[in-house]
This record gives sequence, C-alpha cells and structure tokens, in this order.
Amino acid sequence: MAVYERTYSRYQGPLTSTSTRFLILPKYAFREVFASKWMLAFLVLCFVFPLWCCAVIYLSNNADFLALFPNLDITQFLKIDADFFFTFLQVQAWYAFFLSLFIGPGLVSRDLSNNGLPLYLSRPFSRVEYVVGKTTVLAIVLSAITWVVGLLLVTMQASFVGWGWLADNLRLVFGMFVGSWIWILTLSLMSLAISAWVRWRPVAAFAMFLVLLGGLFFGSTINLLFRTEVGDLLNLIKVIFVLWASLLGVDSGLETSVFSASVVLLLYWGGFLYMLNRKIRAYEVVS
Amino acid sequence: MSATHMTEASPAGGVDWGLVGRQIVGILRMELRNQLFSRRAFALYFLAFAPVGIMALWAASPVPDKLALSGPIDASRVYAFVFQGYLSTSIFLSCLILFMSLFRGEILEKSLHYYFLSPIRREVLVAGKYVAALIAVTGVFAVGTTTLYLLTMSPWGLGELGRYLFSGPGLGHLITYVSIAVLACIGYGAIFQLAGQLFKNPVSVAVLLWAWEFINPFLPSLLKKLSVIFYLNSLLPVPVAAGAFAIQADPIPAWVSVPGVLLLTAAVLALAGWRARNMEISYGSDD
Amino acid sequence: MANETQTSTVGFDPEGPLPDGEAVVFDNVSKFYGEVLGINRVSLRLGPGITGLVGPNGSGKSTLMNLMTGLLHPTEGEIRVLGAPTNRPEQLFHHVGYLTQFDSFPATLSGYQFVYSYLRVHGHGHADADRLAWQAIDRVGLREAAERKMGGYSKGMRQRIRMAQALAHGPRVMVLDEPLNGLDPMARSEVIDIFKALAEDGCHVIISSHILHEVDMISDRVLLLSGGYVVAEGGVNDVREEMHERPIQVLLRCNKATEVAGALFAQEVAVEVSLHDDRQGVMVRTANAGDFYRFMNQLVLDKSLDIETISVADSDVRAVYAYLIENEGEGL
Repeated sequence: MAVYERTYSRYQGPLTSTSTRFLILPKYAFREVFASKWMLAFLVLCFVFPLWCCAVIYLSNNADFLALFPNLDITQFLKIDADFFFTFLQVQAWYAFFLSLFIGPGLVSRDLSNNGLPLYLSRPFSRVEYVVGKTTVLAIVLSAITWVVGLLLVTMQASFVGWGWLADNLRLVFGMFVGSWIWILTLSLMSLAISAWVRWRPVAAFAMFLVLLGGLFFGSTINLLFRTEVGDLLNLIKVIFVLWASLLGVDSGLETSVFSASVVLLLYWGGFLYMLNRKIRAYEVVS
Repeated sequence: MSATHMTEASPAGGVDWGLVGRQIVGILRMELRNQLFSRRAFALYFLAFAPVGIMALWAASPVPDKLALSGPIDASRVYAFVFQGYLSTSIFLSCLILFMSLFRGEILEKSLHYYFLSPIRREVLVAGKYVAALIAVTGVFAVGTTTLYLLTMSPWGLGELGRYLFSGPGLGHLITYVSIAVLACIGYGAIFQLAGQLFKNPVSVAVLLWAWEFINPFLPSLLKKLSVIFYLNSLLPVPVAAGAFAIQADPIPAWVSVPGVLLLTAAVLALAGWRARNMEISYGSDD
Repeated sequence: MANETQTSTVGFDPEGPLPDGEAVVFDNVSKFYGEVLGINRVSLRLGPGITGLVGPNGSGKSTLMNLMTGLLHPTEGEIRVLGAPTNRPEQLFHHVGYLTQFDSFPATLSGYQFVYSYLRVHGHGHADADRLAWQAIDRVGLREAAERKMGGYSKGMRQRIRMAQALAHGPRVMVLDEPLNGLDPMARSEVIDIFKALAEDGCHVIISSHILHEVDMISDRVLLLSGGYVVAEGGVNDVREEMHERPIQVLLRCNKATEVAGALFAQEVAVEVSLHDDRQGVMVRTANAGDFYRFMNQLVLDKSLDIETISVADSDVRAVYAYLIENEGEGL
C-alpha cells in the first residue's frame, strides 16, 4: 500500500471578517448592475424629480423670485411641509420600484440557474448572510434615491429657513427615513423571493409587476363590487402610502387604518420570507 | 432492438395524416400535462378562479341589494363590467403565460431539442403545442366564464336564474360570453406563441401589447382596429361604458370581427410555423 | 490527409462508393455564428460502424453533430443523412437518434414517462411505445429506477435514460455527444457494448469524446477536429501512416540496449534515443518508420539481440491528437 506524504494544508491567510462577509455579494453584483447603460440612464432619471424638488425649495425661499408674483400667494404652491415630502416619497417610490425591476430579478435566479447556491453555502456563509448580502445590493441603490436624497432636501430646506425648522420637523426626518426603509425592505424581499422562484429574468420582472398591479386590480374590483374600501388592503402601494402618511403626519386620503396596513405589510413580508426560506438552500429536494 | 420505422409519406405518396394525427396526440399528452398539472398551471388556475372566488363572495353577501339590483337583468350590467376585466386581465395574462412558454419556456429549460429531434414537421409541432395550450386555457376559462356568469345571476334564487337563462336572454348571453373568451384565447394565444418564438425577451412585447390593449378605448377609431380587444368588445352582448375620455367608435359586426380574429390567428400561426422551421437550438444565457 | 483536402470518405469499403442513401454526407459545409467560426468547409462521407470525433473544446465537434441532426442549419453547404436532408425532421428522425450534450429534460417526468412520451410524439401507439420504451430502458440497465422522477437521478442515470430515449425508436444513425460522461466504469463498459452491438447491426454510430483512450478503443475510425477544421480522419493507424513526415516513438526492450542506441545514432535512423535507467530498453523517436524497422531487422541478426518487446508507443488517438492538434502550429 502506498503511503504518501501529506502535502495539503488548509488556507491560513487572513479571512474577511464574518460581520462584513455579506458585503462581498454586493461588491460583485454592482459590477454587473452598472455594466448596463440602460440601468445607468435610468438611475440618472431617478434624480430628476429630486432635482425638481431642489429647485422648488430654492425658489420657495428666494425673495427675489417670490417678489415677481406680488398679487399671488405663491407660497401656497411652493409650500415645503410634510405634504411636500409625502409627495416626494410617493414619486420616488415608483422610481424605486422600477429600479428594483431592473436589478432584482437576476439577483438570485442567476445563482439558481448556475447551481451557484451550493457553492456559496458550502463556505462559511449562511443563508441569512446570503439574503442580507443580496438585499444590500438593492438597499444601497434604493437608499440613494429615497431617504438619502430626501434627507438632503430636508437639510437644504433647514439651511434656508433656519435649523429651528428642522427641530420642529424631526418627525419628518424620522418618517422619511423609516418610511423609505419600509419600502426598500418590501421591494428587496419581493425581488429576492420572486427571483428565487422564477428563474427567467423577464418573467420575474413581470411577476413583480403583477404583484403590484394584481393587488391594484383585485383591490379596485372588490371595492367596486362590494362598495367597500377593504380592497385597498390588497393594494401594496396604498398600504405603503397609509403607513407613510402616518409616519409623516399627513392625511393619506384613504380609509385604511394604520394597524391593518401594518398587518398586511407584515403578511407580505412573511410570505416573501417563506418563499425565500423554501428556495435558498444548498440542495434541492426532489419529490 | 427493433422498432417499427414509420414515414410520413403514405403509400400514395402524400402525407400520412394518420401518423400526423398520432404525433399531435403525442404532443397533446405531453403539453396538457405541462399546462394543467405543472407549477405553471397555478398561475392559470389563480387567474381563472380568483375572480370566481370574489364573485362567489359577492353573490353570497347582501351587496347586490345594496347596489339596488332588481334581478338578473340588472345584474347583467355588472357581469358585463366583470367580464371585461376578466378578459383584459385574467384571460390576457393566462394566454401570455401559457402560450409564451410553449417555446421560450422549453428553451429556458433546455428541453426543446427533444421535440426537434422527433420525426415531426416543425409546423405540426407548432400546431400541436398551440392546440394543447388552447384546450387547456379555453377549458379553464369556459368554466371560469360560466361560473362567474351563474354566480352573478344567482343572488335572486335558482328559479329566477332558470327563468332568465331559459326564458330570457341569459343562455344566449352566456354562450356569447364563452365564445368571446374562447376567441380571445385563440387570438392572444397565437400572438403570444409567436412572440415566444421570435423574441428572447417576449415579456417586453407582452407589456407593450397589454398597454396598447388597455388604452384602446382612448385611441382614435382607426388605431382601435389594430387591436384584438376592440373586435372582442364589439361582440359583447351588453355594452360597457368605456369611461369619460373614451373615443367612441362603431362596433364591428360579428360576421367581420369573428372571421377577422380567426384570419389574424391563421396568419400568425403560419408565421410561427415558418419561424419554427428555421429555428436552431442554441441555448444561450436567457436567464 | 485532411489538411490537403477536406473531402474524404470514412468507414466503408473504399473499393465501392457508398451510396448517399447509406451514408452521412457533408458537402462543403460551413457554419458561422455571426463572425465566429463553427466549422469550415467540411466535406465528409461517414459509413456504418463507430466513428469517433475527437478535438479540444471549441473545435467544432458539437457543431458538427448539431448540423448532422438539423438542430443547427449550415451557413453554406448541404448535409444528408441516409439520403434525408437535415431540414426535414419528418424524414430524418425516423432513422436518427441523438444524445445531445444538454443534461436537461422535462423535469416532472419519470424516466419511463420521458422515453414513452417522446415515442408517442414519434407517432407510436400506446402498446408499441410501451414495449419500445421498456426495451430501451432495459438496454441501458435502468429498469429499477424507471418509475422515479428524473429530477432525482444521478448524472450517470440521467445520461443513461437520455441514451434510452435516443435509441428507443431503433435508429440507424446514432449520434452521441460525450456519451460516456458521468458514467461509472461498469456503466461505461455496458454502454460501450451497446455501441459495439449497434455498429455490428450495421448502424452508423458517431461518438464525440474527450476521453481519448475510450474513443481509441471503441472507434473503427476517428475524425480529428481543431478550430472548426477536420484535421485528420480515418483509422487510427491510417492517420498515423499519413503522418510519415512526423517522428514516431518506438519502445524497445532488449538485452543490448546501449549497443542498439549507439547503432541507431550511427546510422542516423533515429532523431532521439533515450536509454532506460535499467539499461534494458530504449525509447526511440524516428522520422522514418520504414527505414527504422528495416535497420532493426538487420541489427537483430548482426548483434543477436534478444528482443523482449518492440511496440509503437504513440499510435493511439492521444498521440495523433497531440501531433495534429496540440502541436498544429508546428507543422500542419
């Protein structure tokens, strides 16, 4: 019997810290995401409305501009308050949704198609880290067009009217930050869950579209047929708007209660997490 | 090993239609299993029967009274509205999912070559797959349309329903609605099957088509005629108000619209057959 | 030789031309993927028996097979398989079976359903399809697993069930892309026996493989591809003889190895001679095999050599492959 000298020894060099290991996923995902010119063009488009808001804030605080309309209470149109930022969030929410349509569908589906999951999960890298890593990809991009730019607008307004305004509107800051994160988490979980189940990217994108539009359609139909507002609970966009309105302290114009909206949102999250739990595995169960 | 070698040429030198028939039966066996009993079928059943569930709740609730509907004749207006939504959403999306995946889905699963390595004309393959999907989708939606209709008319009791169906216009309306549903499946099915063959990303085409069909009421008369939904709407036994900004156009008589949709289908299927004859198998990165 | 003309006839009696209806014929066939070359100006005529396609990745083996079975269409030229054009599947696949490189299948089917269902698509009735399916499944030794879902099969089992599907309808031309992939040694041996049996029945069996010694063992002839060109074809030994300008290696074990080495150098019949450590053998590289063997005959008589072994060390496909493909820049 041949006995060979043992020459293999395990890697003993430095390892990425366990706390930041999940960041490896966005590092490589971003390269792919930003390789698309369409994606870059759309990302630029996402900042058009914030620029417009920037201009409005500037003009609303510009005495020379206001003096051009002596007979008109222009401040009524250029009022910078919670409603203004609610509108800002509503518009950016759609941009965030379309951005996640670009980025989200390929996040997990590619790994599943290429049998990449066993490769990730056979390393000291857990399923949770995998999901967090993939979520981070969307979270970073969506943050840039929602709360980051939103807080910059708040800061701009505060710098014009005095920092006292900021102290008076701390709820706005909190609401914008938390509200944005609610939407970012919802979109990220939805994208990942659908991407994990639908391996064909265009279909995954379409499925995300359907989750939103299907809820809207069925919700509206129920409202019409039953003469009720309960259908709004199926409409994810309306659920989010109710929560944002509550966080920012404005009137959403909807009858749905914050409690029921919260419960519905948690159900959506639970559903997405269940879908992820079923698919993000190092092995496939064949029955 | 021995096998009976069969050729398509009959002793007379023509096509052996018996063999072609057996091959189509072979395709139907495979495809019907795929369309009706696979994971993909969940979308079909959901889209077909979720509205039925909502309508069942409606029929069982006191809402019809609240809507001041006096009986099935009044309810037929409700049904016209419900059916239009059913047509433009459930039937449209189901056709999209089923027919588009006939070829594109198999390319993604890398299993189309098994068909291409069988001794069948590609045109027969196109026809077999189309017929299989058509049987699945029309079967499901004929049941869905009928159940929806009966549920809408049912709140006033079985006696009233029976009188409306057999002594009134009910049965005629029901047959017309089912025929429209079948005609929609025939038309949309052919278009989506071809899109699945022609485009790597047919979902974009589908979204565009959906948008085009959706804005149909607001299009000028000439452009309206370049859609499927216009011809289908022309057949509705109870017209539906198109909305405040809709542009009115004279409905197309049935003797024009039905052959029109069938001719369009035949032309699209001929193109699909030609495309299939020229298709090559090169499973790229369609994910 | 392939680099002189791309047209040749492989695998049947050269005295009588094989009619088109009995051969796989490539007539000046080229395939381009956009600007990328698949195969270029290939003319071939493959007869019954086992033909091995050998070449590195990207050499055009799969392209050749896909063209042969109509999964790809040639950019130029024409292909006929037993007289049937490849763009007529309704004619072609009554007598052609193809085991592709795609390790995929309709996911929800069992092995039996997979073979049976496609036999139904071929046009067989239930009883016929059932009988043929079980025959094919038995032939690849998968009866026990036939009722299980294919999603749970190992790679070797998937390979075997796909092979069963390809040969279930009794084709006269079997095209097999890397058919031994994923098979354990026992299964390999069984599958190779199937190929040999098919060839003995008069089938055209066309096999591609990277496992060179297996191609060498099972093939009646080989077709070597590189960069989209057929660089050599014929029996392994025929190809070797065609390469007379190239040195061959001969292993010689005898009692006077040192003297043999000296004599070979003196007569300039060897390009290189290396003496074995035990001084009981030499490895000779010679550019002219004929001169070498004539000289050796004389040497045996003159020196009363006691020869234990004399064998050509590189007449297998691997050597031919190495000469023609790996070193093609040097001489081809």
